[in-house]
Amino acid sequence: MARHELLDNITHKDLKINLRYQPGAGFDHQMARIFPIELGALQAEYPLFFARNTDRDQYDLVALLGFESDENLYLGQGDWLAKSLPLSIERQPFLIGFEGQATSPGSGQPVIHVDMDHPSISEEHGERVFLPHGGESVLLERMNEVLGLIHAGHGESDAFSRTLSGLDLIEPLNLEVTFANGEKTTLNGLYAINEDNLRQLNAESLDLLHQRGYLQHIYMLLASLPQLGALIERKNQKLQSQSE
Amino acid sequence: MAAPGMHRIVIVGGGTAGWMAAAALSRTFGEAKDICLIESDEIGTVGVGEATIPAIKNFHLLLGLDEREFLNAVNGTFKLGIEFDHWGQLGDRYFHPFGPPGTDSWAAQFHHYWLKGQSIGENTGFNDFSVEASLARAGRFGMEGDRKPNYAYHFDAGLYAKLLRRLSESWRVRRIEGKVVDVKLTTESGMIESVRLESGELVAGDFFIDCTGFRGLLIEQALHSGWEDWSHWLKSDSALAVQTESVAPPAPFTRATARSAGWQWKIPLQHRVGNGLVYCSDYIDDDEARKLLLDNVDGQTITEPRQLRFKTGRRLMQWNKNCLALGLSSGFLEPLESTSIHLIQNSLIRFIKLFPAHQIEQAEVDQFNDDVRLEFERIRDFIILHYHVNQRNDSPYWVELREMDLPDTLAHKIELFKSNGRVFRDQYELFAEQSWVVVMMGQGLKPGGFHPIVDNLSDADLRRFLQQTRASVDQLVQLQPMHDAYLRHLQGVEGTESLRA
Ligand SMILES: Cc1cc2nc3c(=O)[nH]c(=O)nc-3n(C[C@H](O)[C@H](O)[C@H](O)COP(=O)(O)OP(=O)(O)OC[C@H]3O[C@@H](n4cnc5c(N)ncnc54)[C@H](O)[C@@H]3O)c2cc1C
Repeated sequence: MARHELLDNITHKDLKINLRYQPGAGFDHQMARIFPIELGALQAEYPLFFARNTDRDQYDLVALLGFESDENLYLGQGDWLAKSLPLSIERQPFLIGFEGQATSPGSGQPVIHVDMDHPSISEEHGERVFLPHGGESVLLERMNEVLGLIHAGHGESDAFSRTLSGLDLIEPLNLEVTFANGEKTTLNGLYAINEDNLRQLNAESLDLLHQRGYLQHIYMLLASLPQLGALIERKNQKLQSQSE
Repeated sequence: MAAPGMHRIVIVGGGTAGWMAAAALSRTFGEAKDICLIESDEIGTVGVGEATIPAIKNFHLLLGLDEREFLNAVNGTFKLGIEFDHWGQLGDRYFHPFGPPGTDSWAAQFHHYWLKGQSIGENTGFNDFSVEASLARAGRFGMEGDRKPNYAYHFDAGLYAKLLRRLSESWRVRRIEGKVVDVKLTTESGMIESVRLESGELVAGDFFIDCTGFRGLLIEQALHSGWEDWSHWLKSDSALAVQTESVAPPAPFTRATARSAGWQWKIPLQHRVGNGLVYCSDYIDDDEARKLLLDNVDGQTITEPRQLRFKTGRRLMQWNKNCLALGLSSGFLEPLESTSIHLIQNSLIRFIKLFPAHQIEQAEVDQFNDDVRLEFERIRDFIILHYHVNQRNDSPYWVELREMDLPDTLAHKIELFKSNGRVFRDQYELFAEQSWVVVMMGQGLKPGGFHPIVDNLSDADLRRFLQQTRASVDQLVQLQPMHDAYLRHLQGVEGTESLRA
């Protein structure tokens, strides 16, 4: 269970963050939530899809990281095996909370929380969060920026996916994947751009998508699909090294 | 022929309408009347009506039905309003709550203050001032605090009919299983004398209630009461309904998502979710519709998608001679604002109030028919409003709806609102001013001005007023438990202490 605390420079004056991108260090997730502004940077290295967020009844953008619920093929022995990092990974172990326990996202002041149960939490190793006299470290400054982007990204992401689903441009994907060793798996719960419907859009709809900057996003999503092959290759190599 | 005593009441049809009629009549008249209900196991019910509006609580009051008992019997959930997606423009979302925004009452409706606020840079959304909309967004529901939410229910229609049947039978309604094959009229007055079942049995009565669904076996096939078609305004003629497993705690509201040639509903119950697509078959074929629906539901489907066809319009004489039509036999408006069950209830109550003492008085019948006509027409206008006020260009369907000719009554309402944000409700109108306001504004119709009385407040006072209203809404919302916790509490699974989320 996560233990979220409001970050402050007294309670957490000695807090250090010791990030290790490896299995068992808090990053064993099959998917990472991503946001529209990241699409350009991420499409060259990750297969990008939508996933249903049933709590909020929305489609979220996600980067697929593995083929099992706790598999993340981008974890190395401490390093992240790609050039760009999704914001939702980079932010960890920090997160946004809302002061005054607002009833809805968007009301109340966003404030930084920290998950004290995250494996990267330390008092000995890693990077300091606060400077010895209480000022913000470079790490914390960057976190402020990352969390700000994520905060803004929620609304942008919802508006984007809602518009696409209104145009029937999001369809469920049922993909069967076969690995080099013959093993098979099916990917459920992912959604992709419905290319048939995209081709049939009339000029007005295209114009609307264009004006909102959504066409660009759509092309990024489509452009990311070959990365699924690359991800399968990562899995093949893992399977091979396991069998050796 | 005079109707002596009006003692024997025969209800034909055992869908939602039939059992609502049986329950209300037997509860009201007790053993003073002989009430029977004929239903045919062979002919199924429509049974997809699962979302309601707040007035249904009055119906339950009449029946003496306890809320907890009711909810547990029908797997019910609470409903604070309807969320509309994509109606004005793609990507838009607004909420039509079951209660007025703001917590205070003022000389001019709250939206005038809000509009002025917008003009001086206060940018809080209109729905943030609504208790119901804010609760819905937070997924909360409860009865803490002074300002109780306005609400209705979602329920399993099959279980609801069962519950009403159990009550009716306990109040001595006789149920006859059988298919009506013939309706016998008296020669002199043309009133219904009896109906004949397939078995040969004759069931005679003094008054007949036609709850046979779209076919209108008595009111139309026997009495030819006439039909007014509204499909040039409301084009939908088909629906597909499918139930799915719940994958998240039930939301305390209905969702209505506009699609390329129709719209989709989502009605969360305790144990499952009801989904459906209402569409116009001129614009999308059944296979496409089916794919569209199945692509847009969460969770495994529990049933095969069920196809329904309908015609939008109204029976010209809902009460004709000694026959009253209730439910689908009396007319149909698509379920966009969940009004059908309400119309059954209202006609029923109105009828009980005018129940003939000895013989049928034509003046009363005319009055009844006039009243229900007005009520039907106002709801029709309100539903057309949702389709008409749109800025969508993504499909010819939406463009045509925007460009169609409107009923005069509706055109007038829209004009009034456009100029200075005024809305007036007439006597027979179900939906209050605030409902028109949220839908018109939610779909992108912004009035040119606001009521001058608002200028009596200084900008600073107006800001303070808006902020206080908003804060009191927030406060109230935080007092309430999560919707599913409240439901569990009603089921007796959890004590109140653990309710505060
Ligand atoms: C797609 C759709 C969605 C809807 N959603 C909602 C909603 O969310 N909220 C809402 O309030 N309403 C909704 N409605 C309307 C609602 O479903 C109906 O108002 C309600 O079900 C009442 O139906 P009924 O009892 O009039 O007819 P039916 O359910 O059709 O029942 C007809 C009855 O008559 C009997 N019968 C017929 N012929 C004979 C015969 N010859 N002999 C003996 N018995 C006979 C049948 O056996 C059956 O019992 C919806 C309707 C549709 C089509």
